Amino acid sequence: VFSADAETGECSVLFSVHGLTSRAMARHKAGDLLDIVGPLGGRVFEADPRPGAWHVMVGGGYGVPPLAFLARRVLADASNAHVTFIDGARSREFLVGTDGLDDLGARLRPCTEDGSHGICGRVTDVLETVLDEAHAARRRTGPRVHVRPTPMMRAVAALCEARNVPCQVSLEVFMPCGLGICMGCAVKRPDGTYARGCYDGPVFEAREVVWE
Amino acid sequence: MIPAVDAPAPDLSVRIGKLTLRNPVTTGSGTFGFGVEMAEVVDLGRVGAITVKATTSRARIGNPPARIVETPSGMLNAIGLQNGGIDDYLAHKLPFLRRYDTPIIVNVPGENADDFADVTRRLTEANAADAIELNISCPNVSHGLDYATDPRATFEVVSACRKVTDRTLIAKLSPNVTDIRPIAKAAEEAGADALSLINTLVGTSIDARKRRFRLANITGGLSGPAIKPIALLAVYRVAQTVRVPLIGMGGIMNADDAVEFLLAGATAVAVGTVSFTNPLAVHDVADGIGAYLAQNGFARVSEIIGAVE
Repeated sequence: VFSADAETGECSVLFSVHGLTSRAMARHKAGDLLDIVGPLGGRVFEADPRPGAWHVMVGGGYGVPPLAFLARRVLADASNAHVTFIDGARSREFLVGTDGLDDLGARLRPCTEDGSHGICGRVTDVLETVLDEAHAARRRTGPRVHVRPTPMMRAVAALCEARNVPCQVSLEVFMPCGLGICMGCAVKRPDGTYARGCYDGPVFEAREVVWE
Repeated sequence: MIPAVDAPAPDLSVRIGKLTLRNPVTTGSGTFGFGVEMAEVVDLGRVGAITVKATTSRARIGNPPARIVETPSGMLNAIGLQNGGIDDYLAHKLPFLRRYDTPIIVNVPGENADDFADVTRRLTEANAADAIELNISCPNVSHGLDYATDPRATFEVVSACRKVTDRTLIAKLSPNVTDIRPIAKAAEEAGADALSLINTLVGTSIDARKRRFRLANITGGLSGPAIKPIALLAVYRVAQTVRVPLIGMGGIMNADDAVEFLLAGATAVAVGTVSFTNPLAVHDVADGIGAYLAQNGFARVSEIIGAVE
């Protein structure tokens, strides 16, 4: 979900055309009626409620929408919240969804692997720089990191673990039912048991998940 | 035919053993969680009976992922009976389910006859199940399938459980056999009050591009519309063989499918895989059976059970 407005009852969804379902979704035209079961899931990204809390969003491509949603909410709810948004992609044309966040007060740190926009490098390089800068500036409140999608999560989770920075990940495991009933979207926990990606998540603390 | 406006609504209730179901639609074990998750979408007070996920003597972690893959007109699953065990069921699942005036059917797998009987006895003593469905046919755990492929083993498990419970006892049969009828007969002779059929068919799926099996467990249980013709024939044949009521299941997607099972001889039906695409299927199917009866001038479900010509 990219945005939602409780007053108008409108919400928008940003997706990448990837398989059968998303191809079918892309065929719809404005004005089409859709049958939707949702919103589903037990846990969403949680904002740090402390005054002056610092949030670092790390996203790329279709991982950006829920983070942009969170960023807008954090900036609207807490006037003194800080948001750093690290938006990474292969190249310029895959950077989507962060328009207007800087006007709301977010610090945008785009990066591309080919250097066509922002910093030339990966999100983990930028995150390291951001954390180093904060350390050098003796910043008191450490950040809370939110990350999506999967390939980025693994690397960011490892980086955050090494630096003892709290990190939330939004997993995108294959979810057959989305309702918490089929047990198909098993996510391995450190104790060897499995959580349900759809119902116990999809957002988990990075340390609650075994990265295989 | 247009039904008369003053015709009373058809009587949808059916009897399975000692249970009276308000309508003939229950939920396939493992496709409805423990009810609590579905209660966000479904009115559990309108369901015929709630069949919960398999509950074992001890907690089971389940199989590693990938556990589910899509197949043409169906899916394969190899969950591996992940559940918190009977203590977790009694402490955390049952109190919620008891808020509704809907019979609870607990699906029970087991490692051996003693294990089946132990869980059955504990569920009975704790008043934690209105009926017990013996899962002698789960294809995803070792020994799971063995019982329902052998009439003697089926007899042994069912009679061991019959000795320790006065609750409605249901045996869930496997389609992975050359002839299901002798097994159905053995379960009936051992004291089963009803039979559920069919469980999933064993299959596999290979990813040609990666040259690997798609399921971590290699094999899985096939469900969905792909298996409906097999399930329908099994119900028809078993209905000719035993006297106990049958709960028909396997690929039911809508009320028309369900009516076919009733016509073949099932007294009740279970919706399973369809709940993953239409969580309201359990209501849609019950409502649709009612509409079918009304449109065709039947006053009660029992009039169409086994009525195929």
